[in-house]
Amino acid sequence: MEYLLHICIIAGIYYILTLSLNLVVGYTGLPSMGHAAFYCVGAYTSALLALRLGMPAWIGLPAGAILAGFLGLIIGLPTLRLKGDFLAIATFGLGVIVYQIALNWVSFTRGPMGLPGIPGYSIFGWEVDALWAYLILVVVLCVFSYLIIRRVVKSPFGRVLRAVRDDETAAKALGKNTVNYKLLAFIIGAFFAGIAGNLYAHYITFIDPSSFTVMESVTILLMVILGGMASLKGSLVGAVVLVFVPEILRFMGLPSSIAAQVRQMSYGLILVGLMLLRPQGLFGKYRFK
Amino acid sequence: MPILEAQNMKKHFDGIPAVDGLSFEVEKETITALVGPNGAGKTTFFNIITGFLEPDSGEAFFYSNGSKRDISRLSAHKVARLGIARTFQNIRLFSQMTVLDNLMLASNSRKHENLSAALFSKSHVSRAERENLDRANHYLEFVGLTGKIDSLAENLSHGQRKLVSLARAFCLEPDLLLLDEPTAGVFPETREKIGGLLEKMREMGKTILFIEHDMHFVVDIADKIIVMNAGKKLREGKPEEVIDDPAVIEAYLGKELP
Ligand SMILES: Nc1ncnc2c1ncn2[C@@H]1O[C@H](COP(=O)(O)OP(=O)(O)OP(=O)(O)O)[C@@H](O)[C@H]1O
Ligand SMILES: [Mg+2]
Repeated sequence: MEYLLHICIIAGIYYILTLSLNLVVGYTGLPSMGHAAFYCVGAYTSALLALRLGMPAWIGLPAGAILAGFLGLIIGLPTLRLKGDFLAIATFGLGVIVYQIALNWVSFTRGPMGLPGIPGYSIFGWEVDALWAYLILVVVLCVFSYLIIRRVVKSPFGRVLRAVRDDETAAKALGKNTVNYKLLAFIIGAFFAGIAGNLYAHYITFIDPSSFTVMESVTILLMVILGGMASLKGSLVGAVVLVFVPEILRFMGLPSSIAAQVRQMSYGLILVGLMLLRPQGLFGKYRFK
Repeated sequence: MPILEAQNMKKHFDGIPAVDGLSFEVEKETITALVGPNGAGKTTFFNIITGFLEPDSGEAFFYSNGSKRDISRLSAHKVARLGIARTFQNIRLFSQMTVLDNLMLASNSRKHENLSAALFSKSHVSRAERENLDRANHYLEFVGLTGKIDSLAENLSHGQRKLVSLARAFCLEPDLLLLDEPTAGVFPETREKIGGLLEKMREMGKTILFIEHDMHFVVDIADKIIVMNAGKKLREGKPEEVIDDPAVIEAYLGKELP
């Protein structure tokens, strides 16, 4: 039971990551390969605020999200003028850089030693330490993220995002300042990844750079693709399936020494199978061209 | 009264001139055809006027509401906002969106498309959306595709896509329409229909500059023809004056002209 609650918490955190990346990749068509960078910033910001300044987690939540959004702005401004492939490479580079900073700025982040002893959540003096309580917190933030992002994508603003995805040139010819729209989508995506980072840091209570590698970005992207581009329901399914699959593999008695490799291989298999059988993902409304 | 005036426009690609000192005027509330052999620089000229390319030199002036503006170095979305709509040779619909969404995106007012409107202002958005919907329905009926309103753009036939791209440009309710080969590749009936639509737009006070290869069509509906060759203006004038000109026939390398 405990174990199931734990998996559900992790799936909820990935749901927020997948949802936010789907806004960027699925709805706006920006091939973002470094989403874990924003997740990382959200986690480290909140953890450092707690450990260095004694700030509670619920202050780290908006702080981490805003800082992640700000990083989105800084990175987006120069790169969102680039065309697809270049943007993919630039965001990939971002993922590598943020990871390397977390790894090598030892005096600030403690590098590979990580940050242990991150305090949990306490809200108005109530300690959220039971697993079920933390799960409720995660679910509340999942619902919040879902409602905001749904509102964004269903609005005329979201329609412009899809127009930019389908044909940026045509969108410009209709008077849309497309760079602005791409930038805003990127910032919102980063902001919600920051929220996921905060939830992760205060749940696990220990973070180190290994949770925010490029492989992590790829995993989130795979969740988006599996569930389906431009589908909010798909994001939930993509996140839940890819969090549960490795657990099921482990349950089937796979020795832990090869578990990681098998997990990555199963991700690869899912991706290849998907591209062959159902390129738009399980619930996708948008196909790669 | 001119609405658009190009002065000595030049654009080179890797040292090769595509538009090479082009000057002309487009009169208000007329239909002007821009013709010329493949590679003459017609589309390049459109791209410069609409802000998708920056000219090497030259100016382009747009006259609206009694003022004159240099638009030659304005970015594309700003040109569109001044009241210049364009279509593309390769159509460029939002292919994975419905016809309705394609048209709803073509709106002169843009406040309802802000992020803040999405997050906070419901009533303003729904008012603007109602107007958008009415306009979309109106122009879809105008081009005769009411039945296709919920189809995905990518599922339409070539001719239907051409018509939707016209309707989308009309929805912007611009003063000036630049149409890049609006009838290319469509059946003769559709071509006739499009001719009728353009004439109706002119009656409604719009100005049209369009690129076209079919000389019969041009002679039928254009008030003026501008013939381009190798980036330069070859001839300009009334259709019947221009098409018999030996230099024009020469440029088309003996292609049959009516
Ligand atoms: N982006 C570009 N980069 C390099 N060369 C270009 C570019 N766009 C156009 N050209 C070249 O400029 C010349 C003019 O092209 P343009 O597309 O304007 O011709 P056009 O008159 O529209 O022809 P068509 O009737 O075939 O559409 C051509 O030689 C073309 O190859
Ligand atoms: Mg052309």
